[in-house]
Amino acid sequence: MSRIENINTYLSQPVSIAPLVVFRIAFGSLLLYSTIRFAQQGWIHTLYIEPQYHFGFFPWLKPLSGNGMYFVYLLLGVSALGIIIGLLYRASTTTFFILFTYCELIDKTYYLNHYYLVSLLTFWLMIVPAHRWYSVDSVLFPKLKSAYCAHWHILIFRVQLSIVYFFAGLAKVNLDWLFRAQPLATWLPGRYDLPIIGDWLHLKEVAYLFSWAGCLYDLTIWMLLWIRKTRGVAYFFVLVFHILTAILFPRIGMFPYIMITSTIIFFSPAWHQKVLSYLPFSRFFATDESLRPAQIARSPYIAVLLGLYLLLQLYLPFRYLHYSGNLFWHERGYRFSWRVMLMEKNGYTSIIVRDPKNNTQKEIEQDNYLTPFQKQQMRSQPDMMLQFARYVGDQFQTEHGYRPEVYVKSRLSLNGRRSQPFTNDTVDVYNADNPLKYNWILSLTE
Amino acid sequence: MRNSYLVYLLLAGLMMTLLMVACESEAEGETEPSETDFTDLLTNQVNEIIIPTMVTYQEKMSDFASAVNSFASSTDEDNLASVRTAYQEAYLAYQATAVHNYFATANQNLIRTTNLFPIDTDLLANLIENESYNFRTSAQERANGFPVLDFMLYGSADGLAYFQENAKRLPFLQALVDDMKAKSDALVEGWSGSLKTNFVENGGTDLGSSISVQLNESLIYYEDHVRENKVGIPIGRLGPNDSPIAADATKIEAYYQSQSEGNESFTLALLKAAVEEMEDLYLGRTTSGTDGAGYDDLVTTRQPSISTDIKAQYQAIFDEIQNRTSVSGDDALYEKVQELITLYKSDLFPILNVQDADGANDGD
Repeated sequence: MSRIENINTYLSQPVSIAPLVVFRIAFGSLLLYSTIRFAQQGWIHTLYIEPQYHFGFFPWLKPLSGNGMYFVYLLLGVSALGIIIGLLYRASTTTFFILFTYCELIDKTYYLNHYYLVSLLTFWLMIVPAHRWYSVDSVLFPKLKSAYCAHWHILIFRVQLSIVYFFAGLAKVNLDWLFRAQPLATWLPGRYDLPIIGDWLHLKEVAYLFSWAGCLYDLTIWMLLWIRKTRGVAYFFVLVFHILTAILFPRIGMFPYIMITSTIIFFSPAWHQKVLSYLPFSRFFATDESLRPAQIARSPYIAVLLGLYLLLQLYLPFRYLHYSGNLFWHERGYRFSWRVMLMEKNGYTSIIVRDPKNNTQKEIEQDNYLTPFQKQQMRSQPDMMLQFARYVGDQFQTEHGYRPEVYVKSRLSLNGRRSQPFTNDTVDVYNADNPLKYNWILSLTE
Repeated sequence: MRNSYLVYLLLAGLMMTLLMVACESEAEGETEPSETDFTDLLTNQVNEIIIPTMVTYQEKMSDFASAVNSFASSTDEDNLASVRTAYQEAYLAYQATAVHNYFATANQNLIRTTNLFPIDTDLLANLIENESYNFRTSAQERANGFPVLDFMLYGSADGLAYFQENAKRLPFLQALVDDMKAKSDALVEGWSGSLKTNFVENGGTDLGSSISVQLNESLIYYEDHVRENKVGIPIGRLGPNDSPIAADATKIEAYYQSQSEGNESFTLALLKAAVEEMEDLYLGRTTSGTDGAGYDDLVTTRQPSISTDIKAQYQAIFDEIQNRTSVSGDDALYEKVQELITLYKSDLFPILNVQDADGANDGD
């Protein structure tokens, strides 16, 4: 009992709110930029309006019709702005968290680890009082103003980021990554036209170097960020590592910038106060330096709730152990685990509908239902194959009044191996007893 | 002290970024040659395969247009026979051209204006009757190109009478063939200018590189037009779920000729020509039959079994075409045509470090 009490005391300790405020502004700016970039790329239309079918995480979750999704992104932009300037902060963060997560859950095709990270970080932004200093809210509602927050308000972000790095590193501890330098050995030669390093990228040795360095980086960088003495050097490596990945792999999009921005929360309060002092209007807020620690909510449940969240975060990346076989091959328990850039998986997957009454069969022309992006993602992910197989099966049944048979025929290659059959194409996944057991997925033979 | 140290680090990082970005935009085209340059491969592709293919098509279209003009000035059986021969040669030459559906070819919107079948015969009759046609619009997609010629030259029991009984038909034929010829001229012109140099200089295997574009686009052509239009749809093997699962032989390529001649040998010859061009591209085999620098050379040094399998798959397709009298029938032809796509996507692309252009979006 007293131990939990101690932990609670530690967690609720008043500390300078500066790191949280700087994080709010920096991360909020990134959210705003990402939202604008998303709209500029035309993705609202191509990802949410154009597709006629979505691989929803929940069957009932659909994109809004008409211009609804444009409105959603407008709200996302407005609430990101609200986060930056700290205006109606709770409403802004809540809106952003809910809408952003909603958008990500509409289609598995768009799942990205850093989108998941954005959801988690905005969730915590929604909970913590990052608007109590250097914000419009603190001017409008002076009672809110405080130069302090609870220790856990900052710790939670540091812990979350540490989890991301640690598991990203742990995921790299595998035979393909360390002893075959895959998939980097497949990807790097494609970037031969980069200056200076370009000429070296086709070398196997370079792929090995990058693989081992990347693994080591992910496994250790978060520790070096926690330790005061090594923090500066660690952040230098954060910059080098993420900028390098941004140059080598332009397609990873916002991820490098999210990590570069988020990890500043590891810096000391003094550093953050200095940053704040450079910002406009800082003198206006600085006059309240003497502000005393505000009432810090001290609930006995904080330690327990944070502990539960932590447990969940530690469990999710390990849940794949429930399933046998090669995780990269069957991908069961792959998402929500900080597994980034680990696979080059290629091939072809066809969905075949068989009419048992007329004894005819047909391969579904996927272009009639799916965008190229959806097609590409379904190609290697069993749960999406099954989802789509069920969809076309249902459609056939509605049309003809009886159940068809649906087969999945797929051949894939993984991380430089020769291709091999991925599915047992004699299993009718539409009528199988328990297709969710995925015994229609063949195991990987090395 | 600590803080200023950090600020310096930040600045150093920023400057490094700027430097790298600046270098990136500057260094195009001055990279030292390495095995990843693919200069030999690309030079061979563009000089010995792509452009000669376009030139052949241009020549055949030119011959065809002259034959049509002779036929117009003297509408008799002999001239009709030469028109038909010239048409067949042009159609066969087109098959090779269409495989290279990227850069200048894609700009000409070649496939959609030249070879969408089956045609809409009512639309065609209307166009002829109203004497208003624009061969470059999508509205006329289903009454354009070779499939229309197939219908006009082979669609009636008496080929000569077809043109004699309606004076509006011959002008349509002439206009159509002239437009197709103009497009073939534009193709050769498009490929001969700066594109020829740029194609070779656009090295690497990134998205947008010549190799990536060529492999992706030729495979998309092969998927959509060889596998699907030439084989899958006529045999009822592929299509949207809500269309009936049924073979429909009227959907084959050069359908009217097959009806008129009582066999599908020309249909199969067109299919074979398309697959042969895919194979030429893979092997680097020039139009004169020389085995130049091709993808097979790269693959063989990296993982020979992949090249063995791909070559065997091409052979399997040719054997299957050889053994058949018709596209329709069992699924064997479809399966063999499809298997090549699987091999390309699952084995060839990764070994060449080429990304599938599908889903050009953020990933992680």
